[in-house]
Amino acid sequence: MGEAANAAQATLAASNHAVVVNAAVATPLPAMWMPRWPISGTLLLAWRNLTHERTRFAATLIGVVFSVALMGIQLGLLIGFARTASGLVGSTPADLWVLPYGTANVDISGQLLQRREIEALSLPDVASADSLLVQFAFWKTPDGRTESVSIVGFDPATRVGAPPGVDDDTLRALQIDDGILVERLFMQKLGVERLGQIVEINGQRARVVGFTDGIRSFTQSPYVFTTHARATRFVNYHPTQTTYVLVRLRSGADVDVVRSQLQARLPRTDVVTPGEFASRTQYYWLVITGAGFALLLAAGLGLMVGTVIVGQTLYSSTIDRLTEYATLRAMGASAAWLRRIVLSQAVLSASLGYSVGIVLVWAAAQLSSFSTVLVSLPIWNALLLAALTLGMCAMGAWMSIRRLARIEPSSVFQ
Amino acid sequence: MTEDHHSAVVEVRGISRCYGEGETAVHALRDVSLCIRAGELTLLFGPSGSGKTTLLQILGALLHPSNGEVHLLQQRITGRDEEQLAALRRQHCGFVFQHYNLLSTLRVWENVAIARSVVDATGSLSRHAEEACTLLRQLGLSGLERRFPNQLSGGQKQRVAIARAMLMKPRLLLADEPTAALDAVAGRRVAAVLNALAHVRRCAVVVVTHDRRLIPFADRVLTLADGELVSDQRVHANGQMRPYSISVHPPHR
Repeated sequence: MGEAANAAQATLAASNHAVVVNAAVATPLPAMWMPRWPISGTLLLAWRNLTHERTRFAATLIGVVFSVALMGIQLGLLIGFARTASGLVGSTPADLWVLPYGTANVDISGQLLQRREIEALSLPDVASADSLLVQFAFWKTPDGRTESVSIVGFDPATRVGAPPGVDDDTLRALQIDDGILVERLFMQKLGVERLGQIVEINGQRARVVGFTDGIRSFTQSPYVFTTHARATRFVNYHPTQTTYVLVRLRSGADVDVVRSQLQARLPRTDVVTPGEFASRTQYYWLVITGAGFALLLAAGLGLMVGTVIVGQTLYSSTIDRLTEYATLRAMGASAAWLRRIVLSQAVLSASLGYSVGIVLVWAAAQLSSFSTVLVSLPIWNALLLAALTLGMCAMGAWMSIRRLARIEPSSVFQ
Repeated sequence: MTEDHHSAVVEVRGISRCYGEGETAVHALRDVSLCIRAGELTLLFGPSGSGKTTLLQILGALLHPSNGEVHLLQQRITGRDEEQLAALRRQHCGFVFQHYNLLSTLRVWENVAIARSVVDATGSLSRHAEEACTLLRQLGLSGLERRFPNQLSGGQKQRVAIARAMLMKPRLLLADEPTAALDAVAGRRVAAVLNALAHVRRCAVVVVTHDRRLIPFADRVLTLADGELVSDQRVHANGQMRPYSISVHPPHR
């Protein structure tokens, strides 16, 4: 056999390709050969498998971006709607709200007698009690259309129930006869063009004396703020009637105790905390009306579309490379090692798609600040979206992982 | 233990392999016993359907026999599950395929280094770059390290595949028709590398082939027919073949 080996060496020498299989001296490699950062074999393979076929990669990314954008905007709308629906409650400084019994949301309510204020004030721990009137009314635009608005009547002297962000001068302007404050976002809808414009609410004259900023309405019936007395006139209430009494407690008072006392003293009312009333309002508009379900359904659709697109592209990529995976398995790669490649592909798709998608959602959120419909993107929503995107891509990888689990390493020799 | 036993890398005893059941059953291997030793290049001949590939799969812990025992480096591997077999393969075995089976999306050096990544799952691939490139240089592939497989000739691809197998530092290297897709010069070059692997690195090399031009590079030639081992011969320096008297071990009683 020695001659055979010699013959082999001779053959190699003749072909100018010296084979010295026992040489152990390693030569440093040019730096440009090396990856810019340490990268594991599975991650490198995942990246190359993803990007090797650019059309498929682009389709995957577009699918993920579309899903992230759809989920993000729908969830943003849901959060925006939830915030908008309860915005009036959240922006009103009160420790307890006294509502007509059975009130389901802040926009639609029965009536209370204003003397409930006095009854509430009779409790020693109650520091103040103020009436707030919220009621729908008809608004006639200059071009003759009729729009629905929500009249909010409050006491400018106490500012309880005043629109947030409105300065004292604007509140003072409400002393002008028939004065009302209109939300800027709804100016076009209501046909309002300037301060001092005369308009008509429920057939009664009103004058625009100021504007509010960023006070949206879930019902798309704009909130129109005015004094409580004027509001009772606009909505044809008796001057002794109102819809809510807002209670503020003295420092150190126990909210639960006062609430029980108020509830006992004020029959046929609900006494709730602002948080409870906000939740009740959100539940009504988002759950009872089905609006939230519709938004969630659209978000779910985005999730489903993304899962299918990622799943389909990852699966076809895996099928195309079954021989390569079987080769790796034959070389001794564990099932977990192979799984890591597919999962890395899923995570890379998720990360890249999310990076672009979240920018689109952010842009939509920014644009929505100029609109009557709010797309909200709090940080937790961005994190939730990231988790959903990761989960979506991991689900998409599931079929590929199942296929890899069935791979026969012996097939490489067939 | 004898010296012969010490050098045994893989030993099969009375193995059979049957595909299917009942009347449709196909017996790919029947009662084969043999011992593959370190430092030998063994060629496995036989017509199509004689059981060569099945034997290669069993020797490489890729397939369990229906009957009989397989010992890889004195460890009985019969009955182990797939994950245990995979662990044995990555520790002790290297594979070279007829169609090279390189990973199309990786560069040449990455294709070699990935072998180490299979063992060291979380480590950086670049840690093995120098070792991979040194091997490639030894196999005459300097300057091709950054290319992709589709930019190489068949002979170059096969040497990359051998480098990949070598990086695993296998005790047993199994090759399936490694020269079938190569021209004569490239085939001789690959055969020389396999020969050097056996004699310099003391690796046990088993090559399934139809190419009789490889015989001068081999130490031993096995022939299968209808699933049975019909001859086992040693290749002598003058090219003559004589019975390989110590190779076939009777099944342990």
